This record gives sequence, C-alpha cells and structure tokens, in this order.
Amino acid sequence: MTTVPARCEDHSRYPEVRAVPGRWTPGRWFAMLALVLVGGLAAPSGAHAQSLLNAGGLGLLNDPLDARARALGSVGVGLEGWYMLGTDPSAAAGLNLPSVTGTFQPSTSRIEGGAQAGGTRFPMLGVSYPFGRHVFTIQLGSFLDQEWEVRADRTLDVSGEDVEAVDRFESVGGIGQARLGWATRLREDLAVGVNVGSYTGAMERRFIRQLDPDAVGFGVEPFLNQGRWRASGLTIAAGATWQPSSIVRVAASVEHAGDLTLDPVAPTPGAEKSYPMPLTVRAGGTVVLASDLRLSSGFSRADWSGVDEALGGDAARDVAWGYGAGVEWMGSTLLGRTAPIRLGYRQQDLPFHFQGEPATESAFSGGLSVNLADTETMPVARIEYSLERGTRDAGIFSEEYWRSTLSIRLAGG
Amino acid sequence: MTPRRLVLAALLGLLVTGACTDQVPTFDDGSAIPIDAETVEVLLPFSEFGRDFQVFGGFGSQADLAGFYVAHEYRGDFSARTLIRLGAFPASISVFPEGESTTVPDSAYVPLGGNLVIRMDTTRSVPEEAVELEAGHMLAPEWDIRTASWQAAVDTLGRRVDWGEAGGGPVRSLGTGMWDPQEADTLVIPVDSATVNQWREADESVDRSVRVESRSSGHLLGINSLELRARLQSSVNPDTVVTVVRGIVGSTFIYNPEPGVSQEEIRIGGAPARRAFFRIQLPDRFEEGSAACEVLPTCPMDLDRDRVVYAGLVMQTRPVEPPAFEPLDTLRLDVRPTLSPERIPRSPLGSSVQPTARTFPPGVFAADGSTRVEVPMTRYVQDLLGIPDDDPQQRDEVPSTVALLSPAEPSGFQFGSLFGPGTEGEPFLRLILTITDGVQLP
Repeated sequence: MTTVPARCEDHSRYPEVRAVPGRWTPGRWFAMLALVLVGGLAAPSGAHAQSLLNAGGLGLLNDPLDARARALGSVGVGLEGWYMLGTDPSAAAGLNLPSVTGTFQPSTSRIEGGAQAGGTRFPMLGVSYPFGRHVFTIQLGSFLDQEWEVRADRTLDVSGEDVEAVDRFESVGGIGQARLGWATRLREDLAVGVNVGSYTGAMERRFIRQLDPDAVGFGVEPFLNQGRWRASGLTIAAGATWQPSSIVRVAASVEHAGDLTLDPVAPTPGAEKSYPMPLTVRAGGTVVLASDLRLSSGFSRADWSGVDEALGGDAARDVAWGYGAGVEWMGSTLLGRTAPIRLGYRQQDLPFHFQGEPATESAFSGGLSVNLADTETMPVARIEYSLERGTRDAGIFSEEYWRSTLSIRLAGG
Repeated sequence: MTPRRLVLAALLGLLVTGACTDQVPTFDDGSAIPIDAETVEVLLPFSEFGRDFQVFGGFGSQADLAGFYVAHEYRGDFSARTLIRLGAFPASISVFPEGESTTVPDSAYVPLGGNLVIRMDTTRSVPEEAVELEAGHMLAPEWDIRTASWQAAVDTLGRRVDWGEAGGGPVRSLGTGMWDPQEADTLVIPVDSATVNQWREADESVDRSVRVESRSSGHLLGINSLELRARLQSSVNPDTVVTVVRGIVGSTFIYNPEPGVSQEEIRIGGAPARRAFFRIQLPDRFEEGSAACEVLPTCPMDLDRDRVVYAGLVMQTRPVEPPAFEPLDTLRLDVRPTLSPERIPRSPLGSSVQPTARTFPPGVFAADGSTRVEVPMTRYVQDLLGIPDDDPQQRDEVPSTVALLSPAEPSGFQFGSLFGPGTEGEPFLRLILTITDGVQLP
C-alpha cells in the first residue's frame, strides 16, 4: 500500500504520535477542554431552530455535521482524514489520541417578503478514546429541530359580542441522538465502525389564547394548553472506509433507526406515539486532485415512507435524496499555520412536507480551518469554520438562510 | 498574548456571545395553529353555585367615623343626633396676683359661662338655607360610646339600657343657634355659668355629655368638631378672666330608623357595617340539558380549572331603603374568603379575591334605576376548581365561603344595596371558558 506525503492535515498517516514537552502540556490540554465545555454550557441546551420549515411534520432535519463537512457540502461521509461524525462510524478509526469535538451553529433565515428568524444550535459534541487498535466514541448530535411559533390576532364571537384575542402556538425543543461508537482499522487501507444510539430530547407544544380584558373583564387570565413528550428509540449505524490508493478514499454507511417514540410526560394526557424512522444510506469519497487539492462528494438516500403513513399521508416524502460536493485547498496558511480553504454545494430533500408541498434545501458553502496548537507531527487543536448561503423551497414558499458553523477539535484530530 | 491565542480567544468569545441570540420563526397565519379552540360564555345562576347565603350587621360602630351627623326628617323620617362627651376641666388655672410678676395656681376659679363651638362639615352637606341646631345637656346617667343607638344608651353583650327618652334623651336644653352656610362654617351656642360649673364639678365624662340635634327638617348636616370655650374668673385676681377649651373625649351619633338587614338583599357598608356571606360550590361538570350546554361545543363537559379564563360575580344594585341611607359618596365593595366559616359572622377574613375593590359611584343606589356590577374573581375560582376532592388540606387553604363587604368598615352610615338570591336580579357567576381537544402530537 502506498502512502501519500505526510502533511499537517493528513495526520492519520503517522503511526506514532509524540507530544512535544513544553509546547503542549496536559494542563494546556485540559484548559482548552474547559474552555470548550464552558462555551458549550453557555450555549442554549437543545437545538434552536431558525426555519419556518420546522413546523412541517416532526421538524426540520438537521444532520449532525461539523464545520468541515458543512463547508465541503458533504452528506456526512467519505471526507479526507479521520474525524468524528455520527453519520460516518468508521471515520473515527484513525483517531489515535483522545479527542473532543464541539460544534456551534448560529444561523438566520429570511422568508421571502417576510420576517427574519434566527437562532443557535449545538449540533454535535463528541469525545473519542483510543484503546489499542480500537477507538471508542461518545457523540451527541442533532436530528430534528422543532422550534417554531404561530401568532394570530382574532376576533371571537362570545355570546354575540366581538372579543379581540391573540392566539399563540409554540413548539419548543428538538430531538437529538446520543451514540456510542466503536471503530477500528482492519487493514492499513480499510476501517470499519459501528455506533448505536438513542433518540434524546423532548417535544413541547403549547397553545395560549389571551382575550382582551376590555371586552371580557379585568383579570382575565390567558388560556394555556400544553403538552410535553419525551423522545426515545434506538438507532444503529455501521460504515466502512476504504482507501484503495493514495489518491482515492471512499466510505459508506448505513443507518437503521427503529421507531421514534414520543412519550407524554405527566401531566400531559394521552398515549405514546411512534413514528417509523428511515433506513438511511450514505456514500461518498475524496479524490486527491493535486498535492494540496482534494475533491469530495457524496450522496444519501433515506426512506421516509413509514413516517408519512404515521403522519396521516401526504406529510412526508417517500424517499429523500441528498447529494453534495466540495473542494479543499490546503496550500494556504494563516498565522504561520496550514489553513485549508473549502468550497462546496449541497442539496438535500427535506423529509417533511411544508404546507402540503415537498421541501428541499440547497446551499453553497465555504470555509476554512486553523491549527491553533500542534505537536511536531499532528494538530491537536483546530478551529474550523464554515458559512452557508442557502434556500429552502416548498411549493411557492421560499426562505433564504445564512448558516455559520464553528467546530473546535482538540487532540486526536 | 500570541496571535494564535488571540484568535482562539476571539472565536471562543464569539461562541459564547453568539449563543445568546434566538429569534423564533413565527407565522402570522392563524390557520397554521394545529388546534381548535372555542371560547364561550357561561352564566351560572346563583342556585347552581351559591349556598348558605346570610347577611349580618354590627361590624364596627358609628363612633369609629371621623365625623358626626345631625338630621331631622331627612328624606322621610330619618333623624340623627350627635352625642359627645367633653373633657375634664383643669384643677387650677395660672394667674398673676395683683401687683406680682409670677403666676400662682388658682383652683378656686369661678366659671362665668362659655360657648359651644360647632364646626360644620361643608364638604359633605351644605344646606341652601339657614338651619337651626340645638344643644342639650344629657341627663342620662350612663351611655356607651360604641354601642349607643337611638333606642339604647348601652347595648353591650348581655346588657342593654334604654334611654329615658329615645334618641339620647332626656336632655336639658342649653340653647339653639342658627347656622347659615353662606356666612360661616361655625355655629356658636352660648352655655350658662351654672351648666359650665356643673361640668367643672363632674367627676365622670358622662356627666359632661352634650347632644346636638337639628331643628330644621329635611337636611343632613355633617359636623367636623365640637368644643367648649369656657370663661373662668380667677379667685386670686377677679379682674382676670381665662378662657379654656375643652375638646371631645368621646363621641358618636345615633339615628332612626335603624334599617337592619334583610336576607333577600346584599347590603354592604353602613355604620355599624353589614356583610353578606355565602359559600361557593361550583358544579363538577355541565350536564346535558343544563343552560350551559346550550353554548358549550360538547356536553356533558367537566368544569376544569384550566378551561376557566375569566370568572366574575355579577350583581345588580337596587334602591336603598330607607332612601336616607343612599350613599352620597363613593362606596367600595370587596370580596374576601372567610377563613373560619364556622365562626361567621365573626370569622377572620382572607385577602381580597379581586385585584382591586369594586367602586360604586354615588347615584347607583338611587331609586330610579339599577346598575350591573361585576366583581372579577378569576384566580379564586380557578383555585376552587383546582382543589382535589380527596384533599381536605387544600380545601382549607382555599376557603369556599366568601364575604361581601366594604373594605373600610365603617366608612359612613350609608350603605349599598344589591339584589340577593331568589330575587329578580339575583347574582350570577359569569364564566368565560376556552375549550380545546388538547395539544396533540403531529
């Protein structure tokens, strides 16, 4: 098997990594980790949405991708190097140092001719720990965003009298995934990985009606009707990465999810409800076009027909396709460090219809990364950033969005 | 700080500060709300929620009021008289003996007479013509300031002593005076030296009692204060005459007729004040065939706390009888839970169930009309509906018996009157309910 020339970005090709005393001590490592955790805790817990399409079906699909994958238009599989992504279980096989990854994602959307919305998500947090030839991972990732709101002014007829009222419906929360993973390199050119997980998070919905006190009487209280459901359900994903030559890398993964079950949390009445989740297949790869230029691409296919039936039909696609591609140029430097620049494009069918129409998301993206600290042979602290400019369309509805993603990877990366 | 650390700090700062922004995507299209809600008004007659209606009087006393009244045949046969007790005279006065420059006490002074100075209340009542008032020295051996009434000089628990003459009598007239509101706000009635001397020698204040009454018909007159200005001649230096002022050490006013209470009428206010009590027992559910089911989307339907967004006790005012008791000033109504219903009418009361006391402007209790008044009590009704049937402790925390009263007792001898249960304009409970099938999953 041939190997490509060693590069800072291609750290996976180094069989042994030794930390440089004085430059990168455990104290610094933990200080950096603490900073990331503080940042994570400061960010809102749970996913915060920024699209009106969150109102469709069970929410807006939000793949747990990091900034690098976003910048390259990736579907979440087949990128160069070793990394942690829940959609690509085998990609962690080469992380031969303990590592932590956190991703932070502020974004804004503007509806065509309408208002602006914005928010912050925390779509991915992962920790890996190598043990011999095996790498174990724990990952928390986003899945469905469900934060949206309706506000409507109404005139009600109450015993023949007109009463002004404001109705508000709020959907709060989101569903994520927690995964435990294992990956290993069977051969120098072949890695496999598996992760199992569970849906996490909760869906909260509330309806509020506020009547005009001038019409009803002083002291009228708002009407509040609310429910909260906790998400549960198992997922399992398996994948493989194969590098048949020094210029080609391909990977694929299959993710099977059981039912997403939403259990009412007391005092919410009613029974639990289950929604079949799709079997998702992802495949992608990276080709070395030049010594400092990579091209990556991939596609995904998910069968949502089961959930469509559970939602009463005409609420979800039968099959949602996604594809994307991007280039990565590693010839640039910033602050004396390698700073790869990335460009990409991605299109993704959204699983749930919006206002009865199938919806699609597409975006052009760009980004870069900076190695903040490194050993002599590999980066141990890296910040990656991406910016996407995209649209979501469903029939005559259209919204444009800006989405920035910031990922921090410490050690092992 | 190195450039790399600077970049790291900047990016982490962005991470932390950027995480604080959130602008929820919001529709303004009401059809996107995945829930059907209906808001209806339900009127519950008193018989469907009220129990054990009772009216009591006797809270407070006329003596607690800041002013007094006199009246004679006002708006019918209403009469009122003011009774006061004067303070004791000084044991001695200080005078300069003739030719000396230091004072000496003189306990053998001689009263020469005096004046009763009555300051009228020109804000509460201003007659259009001059009126005549009469003052008299009360001859009753005893009378109780807090319990005296037109008929009784003393009416304490287990003891009642009637006046020798109803209305605070008998009295020995001290004189009369005309008060012309166009000229002054003060009336002066001369008092002879024998009476002043009698009051000086009296040991008890009851023996320095004065009754003031009106001799002019058709007027209600307010009195702010009364005092005696006595002229005392020195025995040490007979050329020296000293004026001493004796104020009031106790006072009340009595009136006739006494309207009492009616069990068909809600009376609030007055002096002594009146209160109405009743227990609220809301139905658990609206059964088919009930009046409420005519407006409800489905029936039978439980009356749940969560559905009630507004509750108001609606009442109708009625003309006050006798008309002399019609409030001339703003009257306020409060509704407060009774903390020990078994001790009614002396039960302690809890905090008001309404955000602010309901105010009745003057005129709503006049003979020529009736006004609808509504007391919001939403949270109280919600609390009542939130009590589990099997939790007596919570039942104690939210007493179901309420008292209707004036928040300041007494604030005047006039009272407000509202139709009671069983009458044409009886109270009812107005409920605004919002009904949904509940928030559902997609």
